[in-house]
Amino acid sequence: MFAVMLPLSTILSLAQTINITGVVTETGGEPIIGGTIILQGTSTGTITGADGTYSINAPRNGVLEFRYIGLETQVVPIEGRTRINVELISSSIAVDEVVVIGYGTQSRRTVTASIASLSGESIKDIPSPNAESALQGRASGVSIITPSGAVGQAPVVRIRGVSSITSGTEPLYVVDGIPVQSGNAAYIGNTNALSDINPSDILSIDVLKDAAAAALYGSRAANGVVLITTRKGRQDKAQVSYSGWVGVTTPSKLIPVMDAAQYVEFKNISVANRYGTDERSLTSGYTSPHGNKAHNLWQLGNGEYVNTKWSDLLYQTGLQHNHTVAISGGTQKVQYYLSANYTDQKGMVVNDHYDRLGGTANVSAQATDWLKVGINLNATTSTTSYTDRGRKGSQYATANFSRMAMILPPNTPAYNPGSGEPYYEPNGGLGYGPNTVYNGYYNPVAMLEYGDKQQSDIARIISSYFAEITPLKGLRLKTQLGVDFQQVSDEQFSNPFNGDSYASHGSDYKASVNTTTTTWTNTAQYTFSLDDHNFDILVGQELYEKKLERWGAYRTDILDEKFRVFQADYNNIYPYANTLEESSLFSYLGRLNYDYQARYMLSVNLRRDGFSALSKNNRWGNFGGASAAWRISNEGFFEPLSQLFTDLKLKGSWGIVGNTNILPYASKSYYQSGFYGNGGAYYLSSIADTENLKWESSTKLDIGFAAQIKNNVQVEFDFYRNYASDLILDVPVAYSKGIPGNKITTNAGAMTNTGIELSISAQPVKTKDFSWNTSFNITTQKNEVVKLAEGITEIIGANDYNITLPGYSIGQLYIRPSAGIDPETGRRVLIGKDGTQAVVIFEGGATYYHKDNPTNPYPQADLKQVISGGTMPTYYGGWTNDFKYKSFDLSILLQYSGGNYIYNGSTATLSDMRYWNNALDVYNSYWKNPGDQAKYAKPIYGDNASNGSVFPISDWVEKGDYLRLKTLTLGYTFHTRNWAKAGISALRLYAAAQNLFCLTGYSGLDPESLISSNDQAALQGGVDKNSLPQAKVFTFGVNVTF
Amino acid sequence: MKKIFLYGLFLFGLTLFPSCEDFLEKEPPLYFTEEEVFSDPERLELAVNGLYLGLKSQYALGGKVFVIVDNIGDDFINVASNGYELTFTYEMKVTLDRQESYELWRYTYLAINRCNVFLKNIEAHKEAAGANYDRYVAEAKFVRALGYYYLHQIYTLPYVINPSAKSVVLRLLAEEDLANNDLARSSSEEVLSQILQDLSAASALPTGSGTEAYVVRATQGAAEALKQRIYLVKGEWDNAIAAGEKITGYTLADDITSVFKTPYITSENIFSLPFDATNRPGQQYATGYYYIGGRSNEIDVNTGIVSINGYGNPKDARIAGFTNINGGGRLLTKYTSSTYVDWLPIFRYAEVLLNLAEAHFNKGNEAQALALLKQVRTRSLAPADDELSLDNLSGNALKTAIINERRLEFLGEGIRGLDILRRGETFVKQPGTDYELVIGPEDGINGYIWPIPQFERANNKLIVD
Repeated sequence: MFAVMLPLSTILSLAQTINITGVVTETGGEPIIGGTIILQGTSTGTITGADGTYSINAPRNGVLEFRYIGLETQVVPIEGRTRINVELISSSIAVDEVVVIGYGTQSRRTVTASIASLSGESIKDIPSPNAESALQGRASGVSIITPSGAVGQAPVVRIRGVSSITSGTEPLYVVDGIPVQSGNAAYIGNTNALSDINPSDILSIDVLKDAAAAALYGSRAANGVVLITTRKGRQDKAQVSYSGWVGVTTPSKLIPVMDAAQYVEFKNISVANRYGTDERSLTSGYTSPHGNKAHNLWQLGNGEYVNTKWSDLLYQTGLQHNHTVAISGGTQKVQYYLSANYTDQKGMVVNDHYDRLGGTANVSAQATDWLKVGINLNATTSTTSYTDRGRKGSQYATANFSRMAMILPPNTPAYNPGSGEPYYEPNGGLGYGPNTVYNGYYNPVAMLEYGDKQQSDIARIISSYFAEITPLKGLRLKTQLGVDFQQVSDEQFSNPFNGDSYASHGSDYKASVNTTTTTWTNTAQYTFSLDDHNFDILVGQELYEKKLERWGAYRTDILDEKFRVFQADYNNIYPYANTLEESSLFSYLGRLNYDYQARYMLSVNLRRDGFSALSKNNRWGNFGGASAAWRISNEGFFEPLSQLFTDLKLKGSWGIVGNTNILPYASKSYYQSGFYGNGGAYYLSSIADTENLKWESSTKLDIGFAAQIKNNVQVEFDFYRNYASDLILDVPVAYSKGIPGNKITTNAGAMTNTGIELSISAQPVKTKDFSWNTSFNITTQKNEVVKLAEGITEIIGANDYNITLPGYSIGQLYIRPSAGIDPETGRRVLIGKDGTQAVVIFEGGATYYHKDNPTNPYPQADLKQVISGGTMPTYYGGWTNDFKYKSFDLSILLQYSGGNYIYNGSTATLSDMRYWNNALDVYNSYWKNPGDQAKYAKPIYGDNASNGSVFPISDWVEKGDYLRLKTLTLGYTFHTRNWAKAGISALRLYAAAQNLFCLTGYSGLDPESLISSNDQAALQGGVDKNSLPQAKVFTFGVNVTF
Repeated sequence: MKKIFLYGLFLFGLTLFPSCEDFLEKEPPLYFTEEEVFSDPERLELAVNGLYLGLKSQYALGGKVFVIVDNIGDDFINVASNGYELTFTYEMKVTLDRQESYELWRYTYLAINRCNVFLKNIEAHKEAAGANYDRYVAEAKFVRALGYYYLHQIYTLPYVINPSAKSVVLRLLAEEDLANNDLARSSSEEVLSQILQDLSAASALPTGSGTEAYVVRATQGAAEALKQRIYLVKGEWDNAIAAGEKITGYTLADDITSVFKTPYITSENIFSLPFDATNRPGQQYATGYYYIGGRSNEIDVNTGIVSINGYGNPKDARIAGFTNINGGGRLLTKYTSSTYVDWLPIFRYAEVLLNLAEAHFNKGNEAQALALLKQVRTRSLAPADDELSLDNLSGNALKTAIINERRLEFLGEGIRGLDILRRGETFVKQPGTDYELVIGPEDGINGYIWPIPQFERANNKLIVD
């Protein structure tokens, strides 16, 4: 059949061929050399010569495509003309681009929903191994928080605020039509499942923000949907490209701490203040060989004193590099995009490491005139490893590097002055050093040298296979199978000398985590037009299944201290992390898109989902949305304004979507088995809302407009309101109720997010040599919890720093009020429940006393927490400026966020009066004499109450507003038009910097560096406690196309 | 033709979809439903094990409780300088937010609610329980009573000072939903009465000793031993004597050290918590962790019990076998398992005897008291080697000897701190040194006992101090 048709069509087109000539120029008139002209739908094509001219034979009614890298492709119908001159414009501003929507694409002209799109070009220079980080500051309505500068971890992504309290706030990620796993996939380690997608392979990222856009993803769409489209081949000659960068990374900020002399002086003052003398051992029965005071200097043989700067040993200048080679091209029948990438990142934290080796193969073939088949394949192996134990929200861990860099005593050596080996004392800790209290923190240098490490080796295949049948014009039947397979081999080794596994004499945890998600989608799409009425109808059915299998072992008591791996000989082995989980989703979906002359547009989306994790009675849910738009600028009455507004579209949408981010067995009460001594045992391990647990639903409203003003300014405005109800909530119960986990997962409560999004893009200057494109976006969000479960008036965050209650935004800081330092006595003043002033007198038995009668204890229970500020930013956004001067380009991205409060818990750590080192700021501004206006209390040895360690105090609450120079890129594009002989068609070099500066009133490390891990980010947000700093990164890169 | 075939295949493919309801039926492969557990007699028997396992949590009796009690007491010094290793407990500065307190509270109540849920469910499954029904009920009540005993002792001012002092909240019904968060604290008297009431079902418990089955689950002996402790708390000496005398079939092991060696089952063990590689506590929770190598706790050799004449005798099996102070050290070596699978003796016969001695002394029966005391002491120290001549003791000296004997006999077994509390005495740690610490009942929740944790207060609005 195929063989017969081909010659026939060739003959037909030859019959009406004419010759067309012309010149292709760039904006400003510069001729384009090497531009491609292709007769649409064929393999016929030519390229422009040195003066930009071309000549091509084509049918009189054909359509020509003019392409040049970095410029917007133009499609020009020939309409019988023999001379066609074309000016290609830069691709940064384009009205009529195609946007990816759920289960298809749509012209932006007719889009009625709220979608933020980002092209792969705009993120290609960003030295980040994951795609979602690239969205920071660039897409309105999308908030990205980078928890720290540690490599390989996932950022916190929120679209239009937080729509759920305890059921997950991360959007759904869909790669080439397949929902993929995101977030941390490791059990022991800390990884980012989206890092397995090489940003260089990404063609576009489209964020579906309102219900109308996301409704086709039904029950998973409440937090928005991020559609990632990878690059595909196109009909063209083979094009080989290489892009690569190399960079260095350092901490953006460190807080200065005391040196050895200051530490000894200051800590001895605290001892004298408490005990009357500093000539005392702090440990009964211990005397120091280094002096008779509580803290002493350690004098070395050469007369110098030990003065260890721990941060120098834990932070470094990390080297990172990344390479991608891609080849793409195709014929009329087969198009391909193949790429390979390698990235290697050494972080700013010593031993932080990430590497990835991966490849992509996207191939599609028009097998017959009615059958198209294809495969999208992304296969990656990666390793994330680190020694720091402070990740995944473990900022209280003894071996948290950030904490150790701050508080380890500077008068204790990192290396034994005699042997040169890492210094540590018996019983696993750093030990006494020249002090008289045993320091139970570890020597991180010993951990590093003796092989302590968390390592997650990941093998990942994201693949989809599709076949598309076109039985008649406009009707497409498509079946697509997607498999996202992820295997994590997770390991944690701890050495037998110093650290966590001293007591067990070396240990190694190993777990294997296999997660497979399978999606099978069948859709029928019919596109047709009746006069100027255009219809696009889609119906479909989808099955989704997720399986998790995890198993592992924990081994202790290593045979030979040389061993540093699981496979070695150990005395003991225990089962570890074993589990099996399965969940499934069954769905029906449908969509109607309609437009009349692209003037009136309507879109209706429906989806019905059944989810295995919900109670049997409430397993099924119906979701959907409708949106409409009116291109008012096409109306006759708009004529007077059309000089100003070249395009104006009003739009609105409404819909209901759901959220399913719950555990697979969240609606089941069950017993677990185990052992009691040598016998078996069964015990109640989960109490669930088995009868009623149902979908969380979000009703989303969006009203806005998109306008183009005088052809070079684009404005998009949206007002949004999201009402989330039946929130799936882990409702905490009184501990004495004895409910496993102290919570019951149930539907309760409601929450709203309201705000506006505004983005403005413009090209204020455009001359032959110089152009300036600017793009600004701002999003406001007002989050408000409307109600919680029946009888529940508040939820206290698991760390006791936050409260969530109706009438306020989620995760308010909930802090005990304090009122600075009493100038007379140097004591921290706290405010009791009835306004009574209390003071901390740590050395007194009761710790808290009435300020006006310091012998009268004040009940700790009367020091009540009060609501102390919202932790959700109320506004955020970014401002991009791209300048081009001749061959130079300069891009500046400023990113900002604010309106939130942060509890600066690191200040508590840095002013703790136990044996921890303190900030230099404490040394300079502690209370010394009556009348002093001090920031820190009179130092009393052991005091962990005055500084906020026992419980947080409001003196450490700060504003979180900031403006950050997120990226600065300077590039140079070579004139390669005459380089054809060298085989190079494009060459660009650039230098970039990330996180160069941050303007903020926040005194901690960074207003973005918070402790919360993704899963609990909302309920206990806004707390900075022993966080790592952000990374400052300088890179140098090259993009070359052959 | 080919086209039609492919369309046909496509449509056929759609019919391959499984029935959607089947596809959505996902039962957890590793868990059991209540019905599966309670309707199967074998599983039901092991579900009773699950109740003990609950109390054996590393956060509760199976881990920290012994070391909490001994850090409250005055025979050890905490050298850890680490809040996670009970520094605050030792310094008597456990505030509303301390980890050891909210963990103990939380996991003991989890164990209690498991008993309550079991007691509710067993009513509907009497058939599966069969002849064991009464025993299962009595065991569940024993576990609940034991949990409440430890909570009562740590969170309540001494009964002897104030029987109506506010104690813990008394939860006796199965809690399986969001209701009933608020519950006021019961009085000391009410909590102790409830414990005794739970133990009144003890006649359904088996009698027997010397095998694992009789040591790791409740027997009549175990129930009477707990009753005896409650009567000591209440100062009801006759009842304490009566309870003690009901504990029969046990004898002191010839060698005290055998009690702490595998298989941990001797004629002396009345009730112990068993441990094995499959069920052992984590590092900073294991009783052994605190003592092995003197990591967190060292024996107070200067002012603790071993510094008192007659209680540091190198020939005493308890000094020779359980400490290294003979060699100038400060370590307790009662617990030796580096993987923390040493069993924990909750009740052993030596305690019954010394409890009886104390009760008899308080009744004025000094002769009986002395005889009982000697029984325990001479097991470990031959009278010929003893610096003390017990036979001459009477009055306060005899009382002191009984108290001191308990300190040495149960060093590191979670007894001493509870003894001080139940007698309403003042804690005096490291007296006469730079480190002296004096805390008395008048200090209340500011050091003497623990305040109800903040996490309970957050959701139970009826908690008041």
